[in-house]
Amino acid sequence: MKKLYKKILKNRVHQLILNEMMKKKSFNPVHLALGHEGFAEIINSILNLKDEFILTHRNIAFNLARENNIKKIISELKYLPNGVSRGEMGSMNMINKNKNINYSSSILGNNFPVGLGASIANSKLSKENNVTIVVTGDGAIEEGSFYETLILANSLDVPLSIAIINDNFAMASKISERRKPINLEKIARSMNLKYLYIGHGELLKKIQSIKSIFSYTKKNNKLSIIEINLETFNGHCGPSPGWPDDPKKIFIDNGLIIKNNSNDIIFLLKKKLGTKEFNKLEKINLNYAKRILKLY
Amino acid sequence: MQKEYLNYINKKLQNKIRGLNNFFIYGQNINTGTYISGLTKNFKVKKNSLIKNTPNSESSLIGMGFGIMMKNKSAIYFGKQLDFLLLGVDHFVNTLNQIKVSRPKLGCFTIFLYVCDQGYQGPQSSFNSFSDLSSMCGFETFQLNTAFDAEKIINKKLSGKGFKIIGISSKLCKTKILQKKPVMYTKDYKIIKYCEGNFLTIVCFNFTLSKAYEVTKDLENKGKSCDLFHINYSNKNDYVSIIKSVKKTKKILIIDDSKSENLEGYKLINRLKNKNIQFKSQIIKREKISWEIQDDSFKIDSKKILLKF
Repeated sequence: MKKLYKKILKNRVHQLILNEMMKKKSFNPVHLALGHEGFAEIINSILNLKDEFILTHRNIAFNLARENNIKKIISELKYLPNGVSRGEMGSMNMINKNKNINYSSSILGNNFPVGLGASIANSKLSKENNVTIVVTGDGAIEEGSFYETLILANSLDVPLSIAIINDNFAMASKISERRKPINLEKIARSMNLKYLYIGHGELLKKIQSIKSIFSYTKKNNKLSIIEINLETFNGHCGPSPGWPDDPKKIFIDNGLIIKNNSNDIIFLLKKKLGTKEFNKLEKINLNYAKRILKLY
Repeated sequence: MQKEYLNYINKKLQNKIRGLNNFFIYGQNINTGTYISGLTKNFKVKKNSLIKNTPNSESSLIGMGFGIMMKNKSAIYFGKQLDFLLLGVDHFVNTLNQIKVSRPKLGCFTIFLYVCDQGYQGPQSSFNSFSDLSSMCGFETFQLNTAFDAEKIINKKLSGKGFKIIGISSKLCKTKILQKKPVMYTKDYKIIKYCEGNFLTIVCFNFTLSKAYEVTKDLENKGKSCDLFHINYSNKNDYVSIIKSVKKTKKILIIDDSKSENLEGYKLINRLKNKNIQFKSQIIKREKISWEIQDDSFKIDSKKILLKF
């Protein structure tokens, strides 16, 4: 478990490094996912290298979890040939074929059917016995392709899992500012699909449930849905703080914890690890960040 | 013996599909109901391939095909009407472009469409232009006009690598399929030349070849032989054989039944003008696009053509 916690801390420090570099305009704006580190690392720790990831423009936490090499990620953001996608895909479409991240779409809802196709290729046209996971957000479930893909995937019996990161934030608006609530559990139940709900701050308690749902998907060739509620600490895109009226204030000098409550997985890890151990790991990570930032 | 267009194509498809290995073949009513107006009837697949009747989710059916192709596997989606295909336009631009740039080992994704162009069916049923589709992200499109097309395109392109759209025309379904063999064609079947002559260069787009061939025969009977071309797609503007022909005839007639304001023929004429070739030209196209109630038939009068040239 400590290995996983260390990976989550590393994912956070890597994103804080990218945030600082964006402030210096080292590369084009990135859709950071500060707050998503725990989910990305836990999924990565459960799924193996054969399992396939289909992501969105906000793919950075998962790319960092799979690659764990910030230099290759920075190269990609700088469109350099030693980047994870040969410097050809940049931020929003970042993929990493060596780590089975085969598609990232910046078009909301576009990746559902592409993930379904990948899952058909894996399970029906070859016998790979892996899970394809499509990761997206609460905005994308407003697209028709979400509903279409549920119907199709359910009809075709494929090992596909759809993870909805509900951070109550899409296209710079809260859910209540654009629509009425959607009850994913009821939608899943109406189609007889396996569904897992993870509330705010519950992630570390639900690791076994996530394992179980992937195991069910893989074993039975069945679609499953995971909905996780979490908070994204950064703005839509670009550095925080960004433009003058940006209310989000994120500085690496303030340490790894961004919010002192259970919405921040790093705050929870401090409790799990104990202050002494956490402070030690935080210091190691911040020194590492200084070394990386000096390189660029 | 001359065979009916739809039956001929269906038989060619049956033969081809029976031999395919590891293909995912799918679509709405593909193996039940109307079998897409008979296009997909009697399809049998090998044990390692699948044929699946799907729900009515065109956008995702198209995205799914790209997902399969991206993984170096093969899929064919059979569908009806270009109008419904518009639901998947996002994938023709964004998904395909991303796959192109990321350069995976590509499998096959073919969309095979029954184009409903048999006449006015209300203002909604109006999209029939393959050139518009092809120009979106530079992919191949093929319109099956003749027995030669059906033979070659189905054999070489249906299961070939990469993405392409192949279409058949409902207005031709009950007619005898044109058996005319080409005199020349490019390796990729982009441009096919069916007749040779010195009087006039005739260039057909979409599903106009049968009518254009009648005109060519009419003119030939009057002692005026023509070069007759069909262009399947032209994403790189590579009109070498047509430029050569117009240099010879000094006249070009373009025939296009697409309900589009952005005809490929306009680009072709501009290209000829840029080459400083002196020529006369005429475009026979739909005068009205079908957002108005109209006679949807597409007529060509060889007497008028003779008068013009």
